Amino acid sequence: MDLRGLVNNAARWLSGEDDADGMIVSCRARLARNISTLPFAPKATLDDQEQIIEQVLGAAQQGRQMGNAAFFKMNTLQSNERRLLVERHLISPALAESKGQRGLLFNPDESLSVMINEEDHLRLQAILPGLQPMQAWQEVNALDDELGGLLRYAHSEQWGFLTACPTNTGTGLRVSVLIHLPALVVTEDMERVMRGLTQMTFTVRGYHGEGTNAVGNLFQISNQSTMGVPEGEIVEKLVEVTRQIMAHEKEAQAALLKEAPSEVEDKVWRAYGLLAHARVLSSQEFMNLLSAVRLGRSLGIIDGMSSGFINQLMIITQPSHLQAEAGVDLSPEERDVRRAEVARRHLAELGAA
Amino acid sequence: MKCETCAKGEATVAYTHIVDDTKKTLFLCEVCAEEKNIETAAPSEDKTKDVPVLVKEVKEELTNLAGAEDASSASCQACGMAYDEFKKAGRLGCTECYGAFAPQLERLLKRIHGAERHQGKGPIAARSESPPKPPSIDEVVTTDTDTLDQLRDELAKAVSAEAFEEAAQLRDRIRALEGGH
Repeated sequence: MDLRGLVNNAARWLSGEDDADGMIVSCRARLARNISTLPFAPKATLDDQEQIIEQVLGAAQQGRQMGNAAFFKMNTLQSNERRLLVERHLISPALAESKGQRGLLFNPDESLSVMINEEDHLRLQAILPGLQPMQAWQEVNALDDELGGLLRYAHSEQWGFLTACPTNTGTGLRVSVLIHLPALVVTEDMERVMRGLTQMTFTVRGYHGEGTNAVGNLFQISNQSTMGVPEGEIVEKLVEVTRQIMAHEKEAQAALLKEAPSEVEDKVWRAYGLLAHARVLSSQEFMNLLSAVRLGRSLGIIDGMSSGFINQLMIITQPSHLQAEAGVDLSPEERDVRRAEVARRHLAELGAA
Repeated sequence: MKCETCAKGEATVAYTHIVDDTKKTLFLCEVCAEEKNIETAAPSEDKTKDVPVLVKEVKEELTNLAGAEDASSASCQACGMAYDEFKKAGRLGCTECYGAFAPQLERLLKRIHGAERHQGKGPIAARSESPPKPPSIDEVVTTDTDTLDQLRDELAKAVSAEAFEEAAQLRDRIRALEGGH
């Protein structure tokens, strides 16, 4: 499989299904697992890393779920290709940057994947569109059953699954939603929401996960603690917390509309106009405009545009996607021109359809 | 060594500077160094940064030592990870580290997760590797969860009484009941 083919692949998580009033882009569940007989990442030699990859691949081939998965070794990829995988949420920025023997397995619709030799030997992930984290957990759980039946996982009766970092010990489960909160950002209520979340042992992160900033008013909400609560309950709690935040966002949206309906409408249509006609768009400007359009869609100001369309546009205009599509090295300035071109073309097609 | 400027004070500062493309090093006492306005801030700044960190670490160490083990010298026999190394990197080296640093990890895990015991999914490998054996008479009478809890209680007692042989037997019976390993 050619990685460049991924650029226009319709990843399942971008489909816009179950988008909960246009607020939830996607959700994911990931499990951290290690093979008990091999050293964890900090002590693993290149030989150990090779063995881990072999064992995981062997197990994946025997199972059904990863039967037609693609496999890539990170050190055979160019940096732009690795960043492409980050933009598609298939690997973490950490895996893209690290040296040594590291790999990625993923299925054709990109909903199931396994990072090999990231912080843990295995990081299993299920990523789905919209607010269906329970489904994501069930899918990753099924893959885990399959691999876990063939690999001997590090596990203790008392502490559950043993991970390199104690913050993942226990279930090894991190479950999250990618949520769009434009009104809470405008009304400066995000901080209050975040404080509430921390009290409920949930946390807010940026678009690409740990240590990244929020772009385009998109946030990741995830559980903080991984031990002492069964997986199903962690997921239920996430849904509950997410619904609360959605209610806050809706309130804030309603308040904005009530206070300044013309301004809100104007902001949405100006953003649409810029996306449809601008000739140069930086990544940040683009994400902010797309956020306004997404809000416009949520509020019913813009018709005839699906969440799936917005999500897909958001991904194909990311730097490494533009680069891969072009097939030549682009300077940041050239990328900004390309980004505007892609946005213009897609909005024109949408208008024509 | 005496200060190269006043020849009185003890030289404690090495002042390296470039004169006409050649590197020259002057050894000065602190007084002369200060007079020359030489930045001695770098090392002393390091010290001020180190001290609170050190104090914090020592404090942590002391709380860790509540269990009377010498936490700082603990290391994992299997992978060689030293406890200090773990504390710095925040990552464990292998499965055995969890045993090697058990007392420290117990506190740490409780602090992070607010829980002391895992709840939820167990390993599949263990179950599928050993297909259920026909139970022996001994096991038949002990297959309900009450007995499992009872056995765990007995195990805890045996461990605290340091009756390790008995504890090992109890552990094996618990494992057999759980269908593991």
